[in-house]
Amino acid sequence: MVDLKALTASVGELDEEKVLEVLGSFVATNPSEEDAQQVVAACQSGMAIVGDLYEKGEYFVGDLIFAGELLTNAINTLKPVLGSANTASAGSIVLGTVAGDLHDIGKNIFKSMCEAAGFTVYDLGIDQPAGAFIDKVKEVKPNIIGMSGVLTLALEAMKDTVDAIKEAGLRDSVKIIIGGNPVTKEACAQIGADAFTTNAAEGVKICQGWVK
Amino acid sequence: MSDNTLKNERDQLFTDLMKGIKPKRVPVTAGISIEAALEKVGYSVKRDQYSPQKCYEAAEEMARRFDTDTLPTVPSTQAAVFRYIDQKFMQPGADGFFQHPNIAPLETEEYPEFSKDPFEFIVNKIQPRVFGILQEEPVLGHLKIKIARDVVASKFAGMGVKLAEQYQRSTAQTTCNLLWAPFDFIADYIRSFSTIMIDVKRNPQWVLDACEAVLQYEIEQIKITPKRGAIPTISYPLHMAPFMKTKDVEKFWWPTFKKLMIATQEAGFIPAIHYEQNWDPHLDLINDIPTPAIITFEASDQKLVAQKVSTNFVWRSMYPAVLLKTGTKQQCIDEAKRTLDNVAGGGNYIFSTNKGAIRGSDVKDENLQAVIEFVKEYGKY
Repeated sequence: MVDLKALTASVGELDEEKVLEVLGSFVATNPSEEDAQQVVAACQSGMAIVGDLYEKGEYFVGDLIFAGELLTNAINTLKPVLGSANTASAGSIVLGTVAGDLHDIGKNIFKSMCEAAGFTVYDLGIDQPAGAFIDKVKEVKPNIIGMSGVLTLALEAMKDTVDAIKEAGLRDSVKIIIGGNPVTKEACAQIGADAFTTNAAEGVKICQGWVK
Repeated sequence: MSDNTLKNERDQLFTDLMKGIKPKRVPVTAGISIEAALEKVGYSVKRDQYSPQKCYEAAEEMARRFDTDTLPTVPSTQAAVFRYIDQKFMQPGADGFFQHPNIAPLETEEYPEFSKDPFEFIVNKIQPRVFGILQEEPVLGHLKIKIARDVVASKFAGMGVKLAEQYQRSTAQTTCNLLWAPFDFIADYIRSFSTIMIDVKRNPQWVLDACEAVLQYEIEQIKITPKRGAIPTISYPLHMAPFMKTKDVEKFWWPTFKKLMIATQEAGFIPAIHYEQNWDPHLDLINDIPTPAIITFEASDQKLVAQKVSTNFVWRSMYPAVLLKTGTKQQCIDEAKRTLDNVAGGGNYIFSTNKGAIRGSDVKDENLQAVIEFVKEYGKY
């Protein structure tokens, strides 16, 4: 069996070569699904370390992007031994960049960190009108809606989206978090979201608090 | 013949600064984009950014409203060119406002070929992937792009000079070109923001080689840039370093940037360096660039800048623009006083907001007007 603590540390250090080497050897031993799930959990704990180091200012956005890539690679390596059994999801999030805004770097970082924390994320993509959020919410009944944007104009689109969600009678069934460069406490209150963040790691913690 | 007394006085503020002489007062500038100007006068960005006449009218109205020492809005936009050549890097949203999507037209394994000759590679491989017009017309497309650029430039030609004279604004500092730190060029136009962060980890030597190759490519561009104005500048909007660890910045980002700044100065230009986002973690690096240079900060801490960055540079900006949208007139003035107290003492400071207004609603007119008048008075040396 893998040294889980060492694996967690390697993910935290973003040592991709070492992580993939350990996972490759592990997969070659034809392990049980249960063991494989423990290894996934160890990788996810490593991502939590990455998030903490980012919040402390030791890691930067570039490190978060690479961490997301590393985790995707790790899970792909483990896929043959993970089996078809669905693991318990921490919760579900419908995520998108709002209408009029084509930016997705921050959204994608948040997405990969949420997935690393065990959330199921339904990513709508960029420039998404309120109707797209509403259709997806009706379809998958998520715990959380995440709206992202970089332009100041995005704040207006976020407000329009929340208003439309209210009109559709869906507001009470979800928590809403907004993220991106222009979001502030004041904007959050005006938009009618439940939380805001400009920090992906903090955003994940807020979402975890909601689904406890 | 118009009397240019006021314009000359304003020019003097900037030329003094560049000579290391304390000017009569802090020069005041404001950056209101053409899109913001169009919206402020009630025009549609979607339609009217393609009309040089409407752009001129909007820029003129900004000059009327805001008595800054340089034009608040320069009547010029490349929107028609982006649209005509179907530039994948600059795509309009539903309201017509152009944005820069995160795309990577260079495949990982193409790095060595790119680094061998960036110019060849950009023209023959990158541009056909990102300029829609070249997909339809691989040969004549390049000519059409050139013609489109010339036609658009000719439509706006002379407008800025005319406005500056009419409204007596300084033209001492002239932006002669806009270039990029080599690492940023690769991130913004070749590999995308996200992908280059992965390249740094997986293929570090390829990234280093590409930075060196882009450096040479940009030095060639500096050499063919026409020099204009009393203070000819080349503008460098910096992008990626605030998203990287200092250790990575020092290894991948900084060395070729520093060489580029020196090459800019050796060619007789002043670098106008825009330290975008928050540079606080890397502020210690900044004094490593030789002077003269005009340096702008977007999100760095004013006091930290004053403490760490050499006063041999001309500092610019640092006033928090968001306040002009959300604050009261008095709050805006109080903040202007705080800013001048923090960063104007050395006599090496040009007032402007930390971010330009890019949409009409970004700035309340009365707030900006009050701040301009306050800085002109309180900023007297």
